[in-house]
This record gives sequence, structure tokens and C-alpha cells, in this order.
Amino acid sequence: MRNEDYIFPDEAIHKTIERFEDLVRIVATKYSRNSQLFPYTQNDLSQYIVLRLIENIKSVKANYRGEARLKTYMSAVIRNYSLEFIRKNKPKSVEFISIDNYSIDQNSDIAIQPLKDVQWLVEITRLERILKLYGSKRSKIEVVFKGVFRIKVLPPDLFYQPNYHEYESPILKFIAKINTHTNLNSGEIFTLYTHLFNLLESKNNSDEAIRKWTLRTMEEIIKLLNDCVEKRHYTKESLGALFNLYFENRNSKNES
Amino acid sequence: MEENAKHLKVEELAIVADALQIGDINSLKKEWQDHFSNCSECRTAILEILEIAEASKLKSTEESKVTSKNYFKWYAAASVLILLGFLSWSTFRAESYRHKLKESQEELNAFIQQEIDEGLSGKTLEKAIPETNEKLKAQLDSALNENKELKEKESLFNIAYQDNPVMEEQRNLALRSGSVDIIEPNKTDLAHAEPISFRWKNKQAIVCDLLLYNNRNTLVYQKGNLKDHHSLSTEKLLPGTYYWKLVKSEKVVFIGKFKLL
Repeated sequence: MRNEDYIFPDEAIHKTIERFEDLVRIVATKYSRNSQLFPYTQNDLSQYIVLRLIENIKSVKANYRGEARLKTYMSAVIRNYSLEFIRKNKPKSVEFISIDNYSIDQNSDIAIQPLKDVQWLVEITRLERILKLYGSKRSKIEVVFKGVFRIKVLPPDLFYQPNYHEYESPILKFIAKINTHTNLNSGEIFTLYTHLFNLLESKNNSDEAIRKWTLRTMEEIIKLLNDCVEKRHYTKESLGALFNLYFENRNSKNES
Repeated sequence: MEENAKHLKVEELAIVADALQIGDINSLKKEWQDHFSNCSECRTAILEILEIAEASKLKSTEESKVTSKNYFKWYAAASVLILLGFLSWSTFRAESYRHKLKESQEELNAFIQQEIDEGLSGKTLEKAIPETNEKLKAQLDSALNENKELKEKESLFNIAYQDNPVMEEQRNLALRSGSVDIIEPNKTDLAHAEPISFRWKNKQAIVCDLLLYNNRNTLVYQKGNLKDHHSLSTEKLLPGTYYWKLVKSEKVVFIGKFKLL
């Protein structure tokens, strides 16, 4: 017998809408931030989502195969409706509004959390999830970000390289340089990484290539960290602090 | 970063989000893993979906049940209870067995006493005991004899399978010369009641005689003028170790060995 988390209940439409109104509220709140919906409001978005659900409930049910949890599936469906609304109602020109006409929603129950009040373990978990989604690129991201954020690089960080043993000597030289020369500027750091990865991956990339890749990845990770239900305001500096905590947490887990 | 135009579908994104939540992302389809590791749009979608689902107050039946940590406590408590129950039951059973044994012993003693009291003299009992003893002795002797026969048979078998040192030495010398390639038999343990196939190849295409010896160096079979093969029935051969020789003009070309099981 299937777990009820994976069964779409057979009930009246209004019951289904009631069941998922919490998801609708969360998604509408999330996408109404930063004037994404302007000139529409959170209520407009909520109503749109509900109408779409009512129209499409049959196909939503029919498309559900029961392989994901129902709650997660409906989160994806409702999110899609929100993005659809934003796409359809994207303003064609930029309007300048007077600051007097623009007010922050004081009644919003999803507050913007200042970084200092954040629960770091939750953030570390979020970062770990993001890194997992990078798949095989994760190890490379971690080793490069360690250098960029001046976190100590260790030999096991490069064990993922299949030819580690063949290039053990240059790897250890690289690690010694990057850890001991604390006065290296970012250009010099990227030069060291370029030489290392060109050797390990048999490529001929320029310093600029790895710098661009690093910055692009960093921006993406910051965006993913910030763009969540409870909004964050990560910057490159605070990302570095988070990475520091992330590696410390991982090292202490490995030791225990 | 490369981005695959064919993004993950709605439920596929939800499946990945569920897997990410429980930390089991490696069990997902490889094509999905390859896609979202390269597609920022799908990565964003997966994370947003997961965070929306987690933020929702909708409790799944799994979340409303005892958490995995509490599961452990419940399992531990249940295991202790089961163990205690088992120990109590074992003790109870042991006690009841002891009690039954005691009762049986008492019954037996009472029966013996009754027999004695009813007029059977102790001599009758004493007479009965030796009779039983004799029977047991006879059974034991018979078993021992059987065992002895078996041991004798076993020793005969062992003798039959022993290597003949002289033949072994001759065999080593013949193997070193290597003038003929043996194709069959290509294993040393051969099943009884199956014909043995001898096949060989020699460069000079000489004609040989095949001689078969048991491990006591007694010739048990021979066949002459063989070109490169011969088949021998094993019906009349006893189990044991045999040496076979290929001989040309009284010169030994090859000595082989096999065990007939």
C-alpha cells in the first residue's frame, strides 16, 4: 500500500485548494519581493495561482505519477504558475515611481533576516545542497573557492583527480605555495590554479578562463543562497565566511 | 556552463528535490544528474521547490511520525523489552523442564521400588542388567568391526592413489625433453566408467606405442602403432593413479599421469 504522501487525494476542488493554500501563500510571498510583480501585488499572484489550479486540477492530477512526494510536486506546480504570471506581466518599459508611492509591506510575515541572526548550521546545509547539485564539478569548485577565500587547501581536496598520484609532486608544490604565500593577489591565485588545472586536465586555458568561471559560479551560488523563501543578503565576503564555516564543519565531522 | 535545452519536467524536478532533501542524490538517474549539474535553471528550480516544500506547514505522514532519532530510541526500547521477555520465557521454560525432569526421576524411582516390592528380587534386576550389557557390547563390537573394515578399505584406496616415486622421476625427465605436445587427457582427475581419450601431436609424425601402468609399475594395458590418438575403456580398470607412456623404438617419448576416480 502506497504511502499517502505519494497519493493525490480524490476530493472536491475547493478541498484540494485548501489543502495547498499554505504553499500558495509561501510562493506568492516569495515572488512578490523586490517588486518582481510590480504593479501587481501578492494577492493578485495568489488569485492567479488558485485560478490556474482550479482550471488545471485534472491535468495536474493526471500528470502526477506518485514518484515524488505530493507536497514537493505541488510546490513545483505552484512555482511554475508564479513564473508564468511574472513572465506574462513583465513590464515592457521601466517606470519611475515616486518614493512616496512605494511602501514596504509591513504585514509580511516573511521577514528579511539580517545575516547575524541566521542559524549557521541551516546555512551550511543549504550551501551543501547547492554544491551537491553541481555534481562532479563540486570538488573543483571547493578546491578553487578555498584558494579564493584563503582557506587552507589540503591534499585530500585534490584526491578526486584521477591522475593525482601521477602529479602528486606538482600538486603538493601548488598546495605549499597557495597556503604559505599569504600576500598573493587574486590574479596570482588564478595563475596558480590555471597552471595546476591545465596540467591535471591536459588543457591550455588562460588565467582569465578560470577567473571568469570562478566568478560566474560564485554569483550563481550567491543568487541561489539569497533567492529563497526567507530572503538572505549574501555577498562575496559573506559567502567566504560561509565557506569557511562549511569546511570547518566538514573537517570536524571527518575527525569525529 | 553548458545548459541542456531539454529541462527536467515538473515531477522530475520534485523527485530531485526530494532526493536532495534526504541526501540521496547519487541514486538518481545519471542523465538527470548530468543535466542539473550543467543547467543553472534546473538547479535554481530544484532548490526553490525544495525550500518552498520545506517552508510549508503541510506535514507529510513521514514527518509527523517519530523522527529517525526517535525511531532509534523506540527500536532500542523494543529490543530491550523483547530481550527481557525472551530471558524470562527461557528461565520459565528451564524451570518447567527441571520440574518435569524431577517428576520423571521420581516416577522412575517409584517404579523401580514398586518392582522390587512386588517380588522381583534384586537378582532379577542384576541379571537383566548384564543381559542388556551383553547386547550393547555386541552392538558396539559390530560397529567397531564395520569401522575397521571401512578403515581398511580407506587405506587400500589411499594406497591405490599413491604416487610411484620411480615413475615420477622418469616422468620429470621425459617432460623436460618435450618432443611431443599432449592434447588429451588435459586434466589429471578422470571419472571412472568414461572412456579416456589420449591425443597428442608430434612434429615428426612418428608412430608410437601406448603403455599403461598402475602405481605399482605393473603394465595393465598396451596398444601399438598409434599415430596421434587412442581411446581406452576404463570398465576393467580399478580406481587409482596410473601412468601412461608413449614409446617409440623402445625410447620413451612422453610419460603422463592421471587418477581414475
